[in-house]
This record gives sequence, C-alpha cells and structure tokens, in this order.
Amino acid sequence: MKKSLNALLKLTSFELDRLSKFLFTLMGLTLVINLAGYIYTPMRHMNKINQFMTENSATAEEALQTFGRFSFYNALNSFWIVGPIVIGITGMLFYSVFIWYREWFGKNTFAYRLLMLPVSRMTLFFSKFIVIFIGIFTLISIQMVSLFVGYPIVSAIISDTYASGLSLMEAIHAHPLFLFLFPLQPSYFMVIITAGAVMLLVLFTIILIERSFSVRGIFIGIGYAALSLAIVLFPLFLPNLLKNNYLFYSSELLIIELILMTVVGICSLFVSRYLINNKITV
Amino acid sequence: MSVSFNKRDPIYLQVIQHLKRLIVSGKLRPGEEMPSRRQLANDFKINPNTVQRAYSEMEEQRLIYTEPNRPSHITEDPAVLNQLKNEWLNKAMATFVSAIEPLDISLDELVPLLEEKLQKRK
Amino acid sequence: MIELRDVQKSYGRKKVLDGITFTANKGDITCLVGVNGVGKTTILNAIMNLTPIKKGDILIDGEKMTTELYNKVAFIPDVAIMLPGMTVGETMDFMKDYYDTWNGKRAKDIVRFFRLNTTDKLSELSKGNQAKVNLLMGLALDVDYVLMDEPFSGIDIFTREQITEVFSSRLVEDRGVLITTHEIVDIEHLIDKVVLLDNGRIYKEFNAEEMRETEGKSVVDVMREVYNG
Repeated sequence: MKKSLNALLKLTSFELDRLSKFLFTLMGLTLVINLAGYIYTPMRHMNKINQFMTENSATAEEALQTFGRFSFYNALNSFWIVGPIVIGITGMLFYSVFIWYREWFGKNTFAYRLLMLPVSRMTLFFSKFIVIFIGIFTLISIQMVSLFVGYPIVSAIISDTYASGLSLMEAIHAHPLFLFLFPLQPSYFMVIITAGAVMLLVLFTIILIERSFSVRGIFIGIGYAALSLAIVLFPLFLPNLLKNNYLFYSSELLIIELILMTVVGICSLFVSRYLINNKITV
Repeated sequence: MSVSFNKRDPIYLQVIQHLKRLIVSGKLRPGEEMPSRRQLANDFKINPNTVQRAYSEMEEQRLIYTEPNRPSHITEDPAVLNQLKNEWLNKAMATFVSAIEPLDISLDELVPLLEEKLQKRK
Repeated sequence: MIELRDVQKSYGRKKVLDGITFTANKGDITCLVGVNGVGKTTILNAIMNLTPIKKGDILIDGEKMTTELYNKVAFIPDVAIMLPGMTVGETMDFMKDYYDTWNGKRAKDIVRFFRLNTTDKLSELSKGNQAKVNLLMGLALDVDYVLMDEPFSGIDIFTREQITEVFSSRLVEDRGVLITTHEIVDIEHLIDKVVLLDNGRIYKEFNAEEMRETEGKSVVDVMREVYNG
C-alpha cells in the first residue's frame, strides 16, 4: 500500500514535470492577455469619452449619460479575459488526449517502459488523471490571482468620475463564467468539479478502448460516450417525457445528477482497469 | 585466445580438441589452473553451457579435475597425459597415412623426407 | 521456465500466432527465429502482457504474468522506449526509482562495457547506442529472464560484436535469455535452443549442439531445409 502510494507520487511528479512547459505557456498566455485587457479595455473607454467630449464639446456629465459608468465587469466581459479561459479549457482538453497518445506516437514508444513498470497499471491512469486536475486548478488559480492584480490596474486607469464603484467580488459574481470556474457557490462548484472529473474519466476510458481495439475501438468508444451522456442527461429530460414539470425539486435533481455521475465515473474506472490490465496493446 | 569453430561439429568437441592441443603442446601445464567456464565462454564467444559440457567431458576423461568450489586444474597424472599424447600421435599418424595413401611410396623413401620436415620445424 | 501453451492471436482475420507452444529455460539462451512476419515480436509482447492473446496460456515459472513480475522478467524491445529528452544517467535514475531489482553497480559496469556517456541525451544517440541503452535498462535488472527483440537489427558491425559479447559475459550470468532474430549467423555459437517460426506456427524446436552432434547440421543448415523445403 505504502509502496503503491509512493509509486503514484513519483509518477505524478514525473507527469507534472512533463506537463510543466505546456502549463507554464498557458499560464503565461493567460497573464499576458489578461494584463493587456486590463490596460486596453479601460483605456479605450477613456479614449472614447475624451474623443466624445472634444468632438462634441460635451461635459463629463453628458459623456457619462452616453457611455455609462465603467465597471470591472466591463473589463471582465471581453475577449481579453474570456479568450484565455477558452484557450485554457481547450488546451487542457487537448492535453487530456495527448497525455496518453504521446506514449505511443512520440519519436520513442514510452508506453513500453510505462506498461512494464512493476507497479499497478492503474497507477499510470491515476497519475495522468491527477496531473490534468492539477493543471486545471492551477489555471483557475492563476485566473483568480490575475483578477486581483487586474482590479487595481483598471481602477487606476478609469478616473473616479466614470467608475461605477463595483467591487471586485461584485464584478466576479456578476459574470456567469466565473460561477462555473470559481468556488463561489460550494454546491454548484462541486457539481462542476464532479462533472469535470467524470468527463475526464469517460474520456480516458474511450482512449483506452481505442488503444485496446484500434479502429473497432473508435466506434465502441463513441458508443460508450453516448451511453454515459444518456445516463447523465436522462433525469433532465424525464419531466418532459412524463409531461410533469414538477417531478423533482432542483435540489433533488442535483443529488440525482451527482449520484448518476458518480456511477458513470466508477463504471469508467472499472472498465479502464480491465482494459489497461488485460487488453491494451503497446 | 581466438578460435574459429566450424558450424557443423558440436562446439563442445571442438573446445575439447582445442584444449587437448594446448595440453599436449605444453601450453597448458600439468596442474595448471583452468580458466573459469564463464571466462572461457567469453574468450571463445560461445555459450557457457557449452564450455560446461566440454569441462564435464574432460573431467570424465580425467584430463582435468575439480574439487568442490574450486577452479578446475589440468591433471598431473603422467599416465593420463601419456595416453593423451599417444592418442594425439595415433590420430595424426592415421590422418597422415590416409592422406598419402594414393601415393606409391616406400618407408625408406619417406624417412628422409620426414627427417627433413622435422628439422625444418626446429 | 517461460512456458507458452497453444497461444493464439489474430489481427482482424489474419492469424498471427496459430497455436504456439514452447519453453525457454532459465540458464539457457533460446532463440526464436523467423524469416518474416510479425509473429516473433508479438510473442515477446504477449509474454510481457503488452498485447492480449485470444487463447492459450503463458506462464513464468508456473505463474501468470503480473506487474510485480516485471521485477523478474526484463524485456529489451528494438525500438527506443525512453523519453528522447532524457540523458542516459536520468534513464538509470528512472529505473532505480521504480525497480526493486535495479542493480546500480552492474548498471555502471554496463555503461563502461558499452562505453556509454551518462550525460548524453538519448535523442542525440546513434541507433547502436540507443540499442545499448535499451540493453542497459534490461541487463542491469537482477531478473531471472531477459527477452530481447532483434538485438542486431539495423546496427553497425562493431556494436553488433559488442552486443554478441554480452551473451557470453557475466552480464547474462545464469539467466534465461529469449531472443528473436532473423540473422542467426552472428550468434550460432551462442545459443542453446532454436525455435523456428513461420506464419505463426512452430516448424521445429531443437537444441543447436544436439543437432550438430546427432545430424552434423548447423543451425543455418536446418533453417535452409525448413524454409526452402
């Protein structure tokens, strides 16, 4: 037990090391693009106001009436912030697939070495799983840190006359995207995290199915994905099917979804364990 | 030590033949320690199991002796050594005789030729 | 003893292994020879549980292969299997980290024997030196069995000689060695047992020395008969 835990830690840190370059790139990209946004968005706003005032010889009052007050929310709701988040999510999704296929299709077939390690093969599976999550949480934290840095920058650029006075937390709460990404509402965040984890487990399982049955595996994999999705989405369509919109309270639905996702996750773990131990081909 | 073996005769026999040659020529002296099986296998680039078999065979012929957990040694028994020399000579003579068999040549004619050859060798 | 009993495997409709049965003993060098086809590599992969088989049994000293047995059976494939960015030294550290049977002293001997440089990056090594790194990873483990896939393919003659030397050296000691090759000439003197394969079947299984003794035939003679006949 102690030995396998030790192996898991070693493999995880090894995988983390391999992720680091990619992760640092994503982190850097997030910070740089965000920073550009924190400066560019409010400056553009101020320029518009200044231009409006000079061209129309208007007062600050009139400018305010035309453009409204600028809040941190305006800065958040721009390509500069949303873009890196989309890049981050896409990047980690791509890496979740890459983290397996690189072992087979690199210049060297590292899959040989990994599969011949004298540790349970699920250790490989878990190390890759954990590393993806470390990546995701790192990106979320860097986004949080970025917001804390960005708020004073935006406030400094917008002169008090045109600032809305919206606090950092108010701005974050106002943006729906951060409801998904940040633990603002614990129960909601938990559902998101569970959903993410289960999605990753299903994705890993599909990859292992493909690695085990090759071309045939692609179709089985698509079938497995469809089945998993159907199981999880089923309760959402149930009220419609039964023409009873009052079937579940939303809190009940939440619990049902959590249970179903957990079931799909555990099934995926068992399928993966069977495949990686018995069916996988190097 | 480099030996080239042919591929159709058992290698262990070729090894024995080679070692016998070293013994009759005195390059391996009576009582001398034999190289380990692993060493010899490595020198000859052959399988250690083959050397093992050659050694066992030579032990049976009492050409070498092995005390438990000690390296093997060349026999010091003069009777065995003499027998080996005789055997070697007999075999050489047989080869020689069969080689000149097609020629019509008498012993008297042969002796000076042999003497000459032996002189040259020295 | 590594034992295969009626092992079968297909890729789609094509039968790659069609009832393979043979044994490889500890202390022996067993050579799987085949002129063509993918069967040889598949057999080694199957022994190491790196590819599933359809039917049959593979036993190592009577046991099924498990991940713990990777401490007892080493496999040396003929492709590079370590990350290209790693150095030879890092490769050794990696092995030491995961394998209980890693023998650091012997690893150093092997590095010296092959004249490898521990600070060299794997991606910058020649094909021959990459093969040596694979051998290093396999031979420095204190295992009972070593499997080698085509240790001589695509390698220059000097490296080939060095690798040949491994078989009679104490690097192999009393382990069971199972190697696949299609070029037998270099190692004819080294092998105990020959298993001739073709089209996923075993044509003949014999002891090389016995064959010379009883029939006066070299291994290549037998191969000629089997594959041309």
